Amino acid sequence: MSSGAAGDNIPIGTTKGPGESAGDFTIVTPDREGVVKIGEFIYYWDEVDGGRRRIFGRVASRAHLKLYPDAFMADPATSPGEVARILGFESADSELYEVNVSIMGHFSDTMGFVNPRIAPRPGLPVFLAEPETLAPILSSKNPGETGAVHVGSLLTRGDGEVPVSMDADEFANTHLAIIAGTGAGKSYLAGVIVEELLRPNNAAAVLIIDPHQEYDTLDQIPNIDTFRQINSEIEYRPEVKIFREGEFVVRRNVMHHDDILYLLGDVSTPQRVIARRALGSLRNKRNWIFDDLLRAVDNVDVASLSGGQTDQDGQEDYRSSKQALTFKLQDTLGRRGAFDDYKHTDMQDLLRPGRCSVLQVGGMDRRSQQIVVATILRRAFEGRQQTKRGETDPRDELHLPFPVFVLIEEAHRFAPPGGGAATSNLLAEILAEGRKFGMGIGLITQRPGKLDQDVLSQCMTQCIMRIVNPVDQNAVASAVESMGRDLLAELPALSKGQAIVSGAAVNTTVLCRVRERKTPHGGASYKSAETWTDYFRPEKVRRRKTDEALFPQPDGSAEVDLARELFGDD
Amino acid sequence: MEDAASELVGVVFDTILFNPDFGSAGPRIRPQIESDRLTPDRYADTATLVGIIALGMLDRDNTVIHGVTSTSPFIGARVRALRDNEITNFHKPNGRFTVGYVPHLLAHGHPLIEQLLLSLSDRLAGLFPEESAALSVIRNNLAWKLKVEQSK
Repeated sequence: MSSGAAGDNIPIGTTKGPGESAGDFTIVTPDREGVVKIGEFIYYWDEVDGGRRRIFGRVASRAHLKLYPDAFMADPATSPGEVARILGFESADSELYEVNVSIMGHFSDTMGFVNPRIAPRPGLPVFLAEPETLAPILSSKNPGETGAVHVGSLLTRGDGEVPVSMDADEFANTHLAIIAGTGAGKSYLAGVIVEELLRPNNAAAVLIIDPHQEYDTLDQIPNIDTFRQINSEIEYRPEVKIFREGEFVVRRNVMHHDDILYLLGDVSTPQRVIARRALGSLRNKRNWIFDDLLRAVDNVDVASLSGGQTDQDGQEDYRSSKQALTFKLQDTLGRRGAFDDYKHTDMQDLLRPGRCSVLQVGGMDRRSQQIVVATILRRAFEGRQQTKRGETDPRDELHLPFPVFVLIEEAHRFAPPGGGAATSNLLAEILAEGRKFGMGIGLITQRPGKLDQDVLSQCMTQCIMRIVNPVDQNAVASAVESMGRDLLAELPALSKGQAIVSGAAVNTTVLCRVRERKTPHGGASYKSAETWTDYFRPEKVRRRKTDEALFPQPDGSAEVDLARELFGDD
Repeated sequence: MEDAASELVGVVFDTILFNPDFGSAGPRIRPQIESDRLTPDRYADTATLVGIIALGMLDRDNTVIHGVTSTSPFIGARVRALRDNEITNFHKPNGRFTVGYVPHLLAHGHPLIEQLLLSLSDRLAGLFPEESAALSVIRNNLAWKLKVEQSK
């Protein structure tokens, strides 16, 4: 019979037998120390492939085997243990639990966890996994190592006791999803990930699509010593560039024709046909400007559209459609700000190693956001493809000779279920093929139920935080195959700043306490009550009274004689 | 009940009136005056039998055992009522209040045991007012079973 080995802790329980499913087993434990928590890692020793190995498992659920009678709890001021003691039960082991454990298997450096495919024999001692054993098997990279993204520590242990790191190489290739309800800390976690990506051990090229101005505090990263490293091997100082509205521009003639049509929104069929013709006529004109497009719309042959008929009414319809289309183009594509005829935010300015570019797209309408994001993503993806195929030279704007990682906040806006957004197909394509070209996507959403499930299921690493909405829980359950049902049940019970990290970037699913950020958090909730009460501070009240006394009311209802107000009746 | 080294502690749980003459039509048809001569051994047969359940033991060195004891009373042993301080000692071995004999009593199965426990807990609550909260949890649980559940 196998038992423990030198260096093991004191046994915390005993194996009982197979569990509810083939991948589970049960242990019985008095859990005197209260350490057998949901999500905790335990192990037993057994013979596997001719050697004695630690077989690891994760605590999935626990149930009482022995309980105090309900009647012992009749008086809240008297503990049931005291009642039992008076009745002569003096033992400290008043509780006994049956714990269901998901088998992970023994750990191999090359294969990861290898499931023994057999439940343990009854009666084997079970040990709590030691921190020094656990850390290297949960994460493939140690904090500080190249490619390590240290997101926090194991939730079931003390803060920082067992660090949890994700493998940047994995999620930058096979994509990342951060899913959490409002206020659970998803943008905080995303901030931690970006901080880690910008440390000297990663020096990543990161682009953040930020609709809510939550990431501008990252601009403090270059000022923090731990992010800089200058020695004989590396001269590194990260850069964070915030592109506020108006500071990044998409040149109209690099936009995809379908994107321009999408930007127009709901237009009539004749308008759509005219727009398509006009854009088609500009195909050979590489550097067209907005006026060229308007002229092309004006030049579309109405007679050919109406089938060569001489029907005046039909042609008149198309003429009015041209006019309506012109207005529509001026109102969307023609607006100053995000789109321009000549200026263009350079891809190499947005994306370069050691730089995080934050694109604040919050001021735009939803369609413009999608078009800007689609254009930038498309050009980045084309840049990676062309660079990899050797079709660019270093002077080309699209020359991107390094992998890039794009973090998209409010991802459900850019990939709604069933497609339909300008970014939908593009995102699906990048998620499917990005790995080949070194382009990773990180999707952040609070509504996984409103995110396309195909898109979500392409993200091979998931950081999932508290989710209460059952629709969203189900969306996570169907899209995230690697996460066990037991941990899905934990989703509503997670607290702020606690995450389930699962998938390709970690060796096994872990409950993680997100580490503290080095930079201030920019996405904190608004302090409503503080602001409301601030309105009534005496100096504010006095200032309002002064302002109202001196100046006439905007609606003219109260005429104020300024001379009298200022100098009195004399 | 006392022996040389220790005292068996018990509680009166039942009394039975013992009278073999009751209902007997035989000797009583004779005049009372002759009865003594004819059946002298019957004279003192009426008695009150007191049922006692052993709760535990109290050793001379103040060691207390609640529940099943390792000795049994012998015929002719002297029986006496415990004084209040002895009751206190019996219920506070090592200074901590306990009624460890309760499960033993409940296992006895006599129909009057629960009623007995109710009156015992009332008396103990008077002797140990600081333990009345925990005692009332036990008492209320018993009372519920006895007075509510058995009345269903």
